[in-house]
Amino acid sequence: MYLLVLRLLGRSGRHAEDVVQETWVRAASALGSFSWRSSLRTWLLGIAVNCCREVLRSASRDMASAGTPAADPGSPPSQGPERIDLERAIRELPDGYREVFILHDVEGLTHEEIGGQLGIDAGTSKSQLSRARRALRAYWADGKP
Amino acid sequence: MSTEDDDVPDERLRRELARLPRELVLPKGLEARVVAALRERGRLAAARPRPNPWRLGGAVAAGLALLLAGFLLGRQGGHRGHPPAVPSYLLMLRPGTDFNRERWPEARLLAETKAWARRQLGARHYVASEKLDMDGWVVKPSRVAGMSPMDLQDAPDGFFVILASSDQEALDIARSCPFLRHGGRIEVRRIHPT
Repeated sequence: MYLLVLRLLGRSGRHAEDVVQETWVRAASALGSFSWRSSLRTWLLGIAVNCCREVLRSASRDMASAGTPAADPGSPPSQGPERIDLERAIRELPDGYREVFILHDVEGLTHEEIGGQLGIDAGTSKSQLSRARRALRAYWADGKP
Repeated sequence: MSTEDDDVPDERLRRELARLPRELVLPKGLEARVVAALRERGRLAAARPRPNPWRLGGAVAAGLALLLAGFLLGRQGGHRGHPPAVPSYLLMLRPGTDFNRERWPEARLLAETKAWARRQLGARHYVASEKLDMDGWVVKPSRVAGMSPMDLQDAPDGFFVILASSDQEALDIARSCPFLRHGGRIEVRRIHPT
């Protein structure tokens, strides 16, 4: 879960430990309402995704009030295309693209499951994934998402 | 708009995805920190009322007695043809985290598993089986606690006791169980007569 959270948080990776802790606390509180309609893994993953979204929203509010996109000391600086690996490229994706890409291509969820977790249509999930892959290709081509 | 090319990851992306680490060493102290947070909020030790140890002991004893009775009845009933030396095996059904009950509803799983168990009974392999509640306790020398999400991750969903002429036959029987098709896994253990 830690690795998933780290990836989902992208440039806000320094909050990963707090998010993992909060995910487990929420999962333990909500365990009684878990009805096995999905796998335990998907359910936990959904809680983690929501916690990450809260952190990302709060981080973007902070950046907006500061007026400039503050560099996250927890993430490495961007490098030239020859040094770019997938982890770094994922981190540079916009939040919406990154979530869908990680849940689909890395975690193996279906578009229907992703739609259920993120509160979007399966079609939206497909198009977000498509854009994410295009952005990654562009990133590899010229180092910009 | 999604293009056909975007529907599947291209070669480079597939290669990079395959190289992506699947596990990461946890930062030191994270697990302890999570456990402490769960305890602090009363989610680990006080998740449910502390059960009476005598009652719990009684329930365990009754369960063992029932299991033994079922085992003996099974041996006396449908398995008279087996010589007493036929080894028995415990098949622990563990759903794990990938088990998808949305795709495979409980009723369907139950129906498929019952049909499979009937086939095992017909082939004189079946001895006993039970479904386990996902709620439970973890008993340690110092305390009794409710099951945490971490405990539940690998908790068994149910079990079968079967007879098989060899380890290989027991494994073949386990492989034929529909539980595996639902994303679960089966732990096969030899039972030593005591």
